[in-house]
Amino acid sequence: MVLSRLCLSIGSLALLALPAVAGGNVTITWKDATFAPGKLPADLPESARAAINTWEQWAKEHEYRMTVDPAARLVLVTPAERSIHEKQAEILARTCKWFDEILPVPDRTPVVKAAEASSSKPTPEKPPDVIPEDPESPPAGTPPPKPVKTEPAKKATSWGAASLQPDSQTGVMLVIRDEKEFATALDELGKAHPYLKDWLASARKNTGFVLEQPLCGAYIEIASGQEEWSPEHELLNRVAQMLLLSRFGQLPNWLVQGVAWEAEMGFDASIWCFPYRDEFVYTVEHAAWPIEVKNTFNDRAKDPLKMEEFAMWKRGTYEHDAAQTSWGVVRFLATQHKAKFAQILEEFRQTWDVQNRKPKPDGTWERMKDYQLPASAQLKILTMHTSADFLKKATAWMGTQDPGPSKS
Amino acid sequence: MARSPKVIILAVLGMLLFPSLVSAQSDGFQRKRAEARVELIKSQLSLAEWCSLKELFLERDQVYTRILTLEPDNLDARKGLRYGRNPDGSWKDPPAREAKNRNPKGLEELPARRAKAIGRYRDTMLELLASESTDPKLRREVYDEILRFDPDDARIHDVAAETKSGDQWVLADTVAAKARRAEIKTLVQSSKSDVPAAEEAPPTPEEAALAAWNTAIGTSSMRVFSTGDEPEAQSILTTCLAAESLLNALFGFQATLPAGYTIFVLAHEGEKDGFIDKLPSLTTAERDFIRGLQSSGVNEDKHVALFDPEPRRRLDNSVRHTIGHLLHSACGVTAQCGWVWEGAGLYLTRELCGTRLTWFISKAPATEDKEQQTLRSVLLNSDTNWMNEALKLLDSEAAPKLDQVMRRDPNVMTMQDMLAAYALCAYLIESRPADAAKLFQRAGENLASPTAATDPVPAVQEILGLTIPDLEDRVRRWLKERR
Repeated sequence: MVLSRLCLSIGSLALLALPAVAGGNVTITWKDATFAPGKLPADLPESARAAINTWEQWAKEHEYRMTVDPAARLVLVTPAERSIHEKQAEILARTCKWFDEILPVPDRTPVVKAAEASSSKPTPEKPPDVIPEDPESPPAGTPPPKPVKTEPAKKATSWGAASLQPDSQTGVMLVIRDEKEFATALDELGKAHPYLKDWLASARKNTGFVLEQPLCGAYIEIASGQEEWSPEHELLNRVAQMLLLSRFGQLPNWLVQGVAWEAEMGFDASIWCFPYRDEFVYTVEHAAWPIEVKNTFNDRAKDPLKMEEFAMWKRGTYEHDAAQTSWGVVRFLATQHKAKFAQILEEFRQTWDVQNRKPKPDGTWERMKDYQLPASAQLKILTMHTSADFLKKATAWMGTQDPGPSKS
Repeated sequence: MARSPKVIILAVLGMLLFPSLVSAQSDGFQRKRAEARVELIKSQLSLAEWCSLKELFLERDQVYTRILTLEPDNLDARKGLRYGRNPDGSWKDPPAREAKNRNPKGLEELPARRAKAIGRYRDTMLELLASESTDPKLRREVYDEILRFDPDDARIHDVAAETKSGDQWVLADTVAAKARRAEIKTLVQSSKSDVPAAEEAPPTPEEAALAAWNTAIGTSSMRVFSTGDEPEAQSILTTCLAAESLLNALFGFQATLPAGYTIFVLAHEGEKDGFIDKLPSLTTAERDFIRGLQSSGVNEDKHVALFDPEPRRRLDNSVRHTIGHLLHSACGVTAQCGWVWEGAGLYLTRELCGTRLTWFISKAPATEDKEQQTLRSVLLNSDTNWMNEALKLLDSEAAPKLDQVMRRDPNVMTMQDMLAAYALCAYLIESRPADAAKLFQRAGENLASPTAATDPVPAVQEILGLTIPDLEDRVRRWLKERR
């Protein structure tokens, strides 16, 4: 009898702990209030509604919940049964705050294009206002005008080659239970965005991704074979990448990874998330990067850092030396040139946007997949905003400092 | 023979005096304007005080700000806007404040107050402008200055020939042209639909001998003989007869086509030479000249022959020639009067056919001038927006002077002249059709009087009430507003 009561009590507890999707609805939390998808608050921005709408059905089918950050910049999609989601929401908010402090919204005024600056050509004048030949309608018999060659709307022609209005989308970060559900999330993306077809094949081989268009990221919470990992770091590293993508578009890989690692260092002075690294990471390494970077550069005064050592590090790969150098250079920028850091990245964004245009015979253009700014163009931006001997100073700084974590 | 010293001294004095007289005139204008501005500032300060009294604080601040455009260091205005002084004496920006108009009833009284506050200055300046020979730019500058203080000043808009369209002041010509363009389109349609049905019109034995005509149709006014098909001949006949109705309706002319007016269409390759060889009463040189043309007047220019291999060009050619006949009939204008012949001819042909493929100017094709050649190839492109090209030209430093354009015949007109003539005629036909008719007629009359023909200025002044610079300014602005 006592046993049966106990069983009953346990049964009741189990019922209480059931996923918040009981009844088939997805729970959406925003500013400490909970909503059903059909009853979102009126002041929730349209971009957030669109993001929720995109993933609502998938979340419902797989029993996930959604948490929108207070500024509605990101939607966190997590397994509904996990109690960790509050902690995750806190990490999300903390990462956003850290990111805005390190990389606030820059001045978006178009800068002189790198190509133009190098040839000292004046900025082209705004085309004059054209008056119509026939303000109302042309006379009968007038030959129809030939189609005007216009620049097409900026649209991605292949994955990762998008060019969107900065800070215009609400990003979605999916924290996925396992490989099987990860595959269904990729299927969902493929259905909604056919242009991702080629990319999907490679994405299935990995355990996470971050995309610009649509602005979303995902990772498997506990993938098979994972040993040394931290759920907090997994989340904040990818959220930092997504925030970076949203604000500055397609940056060179060294900047993306460098900033994400700096976010991790800012969290608890350690790095746990190593995308595309398939070797074992010793426990001591997580907090060892500052001293390792110092040791690498402390005797490089006569052989200062070269752009080739980190600037062209390819995305989708892991190169240990380039990785550590990338983080070191990012930390140098974030601490020694903090006031200009966001503006430097903005110039990277604008230059990439202008230079990554492959002309087509019909006068339009398309993006080149996997395009990266040449190292020389990157150096030009870095030196223009800092000093002509940027690399020398970065070498000296990295070799003599023993930087602690930046505050978060 | 040596000139007497007295004459030389007077001549030198004259040379010295002339520029100083011009300068004195300009100084006088500026001095009087400065005096009037002093009074204007006083009246505007009073207006600002009134606004303050009526709690129209936003308006008050705007009045003060406008005063600073006349006198940047005006103490009352600076004080009113709460400027302070920096230790070095420069002005210190006032703390930000949100000024609001708090009295809706006061706002209703504002227009009358504003008009009163600018009235005296406006009247003084208008008198001054009337008494001095000022260029359009200075006049416009004065108008704009007054309109800054009262955007709805009726007198200024009146003298500037402006009217309100929606919430914008534009040239009255702009509004008139918009309505007129719709009328022109309707007139073109009705002119075409009112053309009487064509009947068979057998050629005379002499005409029949000229070519193997496949189609011979006509009305009581004109005939079309063609070696091509009947639909094309019908289209040529209809459009040319519509041109007659259109011109008469547009300008109130009584233009008629020459008696027995005939258009010969040589639609196929190899027919041109045989036709030209058989034309009576021509010298060998004249025959060779015609062989080099795509269309030509024949039978002492009474009739027209079309040789172009493209049907749409043949239609365009036929209409241009027909309009030429009609302009001559109505006004006495011939090809010698280049600006009307080309300008009105091209404009009206486009209204009737949608094309501008027949040009009479002869200078450009042979010229080595690169600018001429470039503009020629631009204008030959059927996609080119001539109105926009004209605006670019008239806005540039290379803009041709309209009085020069109006003096030239097609043999000396440049491509720029032709484009300017096109824009001028478009302005006249769309905005001032009655004046256009008078000017065209005067141009025709002037052809008979060589002295008058060289000087279009009196006609422009008398009929349009504008000096040539004013007309240039007007056409330029009209083009900008033609949307």
